[in-house]
Amino acid sequence: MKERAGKAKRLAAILIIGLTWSLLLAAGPALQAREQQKPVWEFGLTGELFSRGIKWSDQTTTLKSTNLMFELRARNLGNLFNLSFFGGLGLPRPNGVVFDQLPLTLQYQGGSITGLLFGARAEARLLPASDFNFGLMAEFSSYLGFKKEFALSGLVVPATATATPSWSQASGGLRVTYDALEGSQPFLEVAGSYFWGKFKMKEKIEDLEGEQSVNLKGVSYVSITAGWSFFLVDKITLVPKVRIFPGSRTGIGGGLSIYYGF
Amino acid sequence: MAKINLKKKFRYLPIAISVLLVLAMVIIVNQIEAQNKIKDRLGTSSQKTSSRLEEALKSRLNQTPPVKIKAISQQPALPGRPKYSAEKILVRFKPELSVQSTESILRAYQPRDYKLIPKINVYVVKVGEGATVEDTLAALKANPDILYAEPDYRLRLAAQPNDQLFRYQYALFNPGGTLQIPGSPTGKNRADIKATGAWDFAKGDPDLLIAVLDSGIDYTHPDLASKVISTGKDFVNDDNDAMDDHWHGTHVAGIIAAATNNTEGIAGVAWNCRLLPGKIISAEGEGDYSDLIEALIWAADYTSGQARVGVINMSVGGEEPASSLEAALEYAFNKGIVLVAASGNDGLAGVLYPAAYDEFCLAVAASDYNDEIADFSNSGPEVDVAAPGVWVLSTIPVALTEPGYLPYAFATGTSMAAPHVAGFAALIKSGKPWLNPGDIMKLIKYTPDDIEAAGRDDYAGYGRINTERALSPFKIVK
Repeated sequence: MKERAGKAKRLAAILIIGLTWSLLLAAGPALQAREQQKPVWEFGLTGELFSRGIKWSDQTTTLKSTNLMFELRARNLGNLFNLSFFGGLGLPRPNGVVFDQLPLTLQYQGGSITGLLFGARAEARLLPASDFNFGLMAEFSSYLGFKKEFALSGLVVPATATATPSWSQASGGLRVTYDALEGSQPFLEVAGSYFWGKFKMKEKIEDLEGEQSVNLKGVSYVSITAGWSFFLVDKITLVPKVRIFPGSRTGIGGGLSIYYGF
Repeated sequence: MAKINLKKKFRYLPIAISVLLVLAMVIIVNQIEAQNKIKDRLGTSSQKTSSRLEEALKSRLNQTPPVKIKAISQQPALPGRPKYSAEKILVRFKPELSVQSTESILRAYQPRDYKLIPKINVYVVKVGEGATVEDTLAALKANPDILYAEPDYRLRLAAQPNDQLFRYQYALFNPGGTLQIPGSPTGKNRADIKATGAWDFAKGDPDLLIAVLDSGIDYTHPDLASKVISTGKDFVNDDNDAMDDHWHGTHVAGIIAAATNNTEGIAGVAWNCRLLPGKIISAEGEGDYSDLIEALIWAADYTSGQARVGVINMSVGGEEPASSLEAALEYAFNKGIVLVAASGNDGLAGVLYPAAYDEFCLAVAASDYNDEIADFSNSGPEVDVAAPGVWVLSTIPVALTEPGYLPYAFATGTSMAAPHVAGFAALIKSGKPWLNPGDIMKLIKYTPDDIEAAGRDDYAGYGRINTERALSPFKIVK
């Protein structure tokens, strides 16, 4: 099983690197011929929901998260890049994670834990071909959960558990846009996506104490995102998108962003 | 590049597509959540069904309450519980036959129904109206086209041991109602140590030894022979043969770690752990502190290959404190060993030694089948927890068994309560060997079911031990 996952991971990496390399080679002449456009600055608000398969030791569960972020985006930087920085609140629900190294084994079923979510995203438009434009994208996001304390009820003495999750996610891959529509632009992204995190749990049962950190990893290493940018009126853009993580039955998500240009 | 002007004709399209995409996403996420909820519900309902089945089996068994152990030896194993299905059998035909032929042969036996399990070509056949499984099997076996035909045997819950006398062990699983113990008292449902639930998560490590410092162990007993690592040490007669010439040590040893799930006898709490006998009590039932002290040091230092002592049970006690005894306890404790002792059977205030050495030793009181503290159980601030100690069935030496009886007997006392805790400690230490004895003592103290007065009290300590709560994952909920 592990061997098959390793092979799939390697194959995905080779495919993405190969495609990226060929794209960069082909993009050179096209970039030189491109007309200069002014950069556009936008302020955005994004709400997203996703669930992603995660694993630790030999166990798996699904991490569900609701995120709300503010975003600052610059489009057409150097006539090539879109660059954005985002930050806001993440509310992941890492239900199912088991802490079996503590004196009393704990299984987290406590729902969402609020934390700070921030990151950056870059998109490069490299190669126009007919009505399509092929490019690259890269995104990094990090979540730092606030400490959340739970009472362990049902024991004969006072007991608490303090949960502190954190995770990061890095994605990079291909981005294709369809540019033939006036006022809107559908896009598709196929990316390698690596997820890693740490879920720290502290247990205190009267004077019995224990602490354990569980290292989390994503179950799938590829994400496919489909979305549509709608340039509604001047300066306002609406971007709905859906995302799947192939290889993980529960890996699915989506969101809606609204941008205001200034 | 021809631009298509959609702005006027389809000005609401972007909003419609956005709404559709978001709706699709919400529906998919909700479906996943709904599927997970259904899975959770199915899990819960199957657990409920299992417990209902267990209840049904228990109440059926209770219809014939045997009082004496002798009676069981004359009955077949698990009376009243059929070993196989009364309506289904499994049939496999010779491989050269086609499906058409096999099914026409099957139809000749007029089954009510049948289905093929592909890959292994085995038919599950429901016998015909009025026919019995036995008759149909006999007829099928006579058919030369059939490779084999066999009953559809019953399954049981994995963690429910198949030991013949398990149903008399209310301490491990108390079904409530009329109990099959002397006097046939009415027991409170689940006034037990929740062993069956705990065994789903821990069955113990064979390399973890529990030293029984007592009157020795009958290491030839059929339910103990495979569990006793050596003939041990006899500190009374000063030799290396801790054979039990009393009965007490063998009874205690059976409660801790009798061979479990071996279709005979009783189940032990520490299913897979092994025992090390140290004889410190004479045939007359007496012993000296010096022998206990020596035995503590010997057990603490004992190794055999990978096997090491992790728990010491002392169902013994004396009224007087002794610094040398405390020092021996401290020595064993510092070697990482969990020490468990009985609080005493005088029904008075005042816990016996070594149990009263609170820092190093768990003091165990005796509770009964109704989760009430036995009136003989000593009380005091040193009492840590309680465990069943009234009419507890366990092993007795074969040599001391009356002819015609099985080598098992019911006994009462805090001596019978302590080994439940020792077995429990062994299960914890097997699963989490990195925990120090102090942490294991705390885990045992803080996870029981509160009985008697609310909170800690001098009679039950923190309560009657709950092995399942300490060994199964504790759910953190909002």
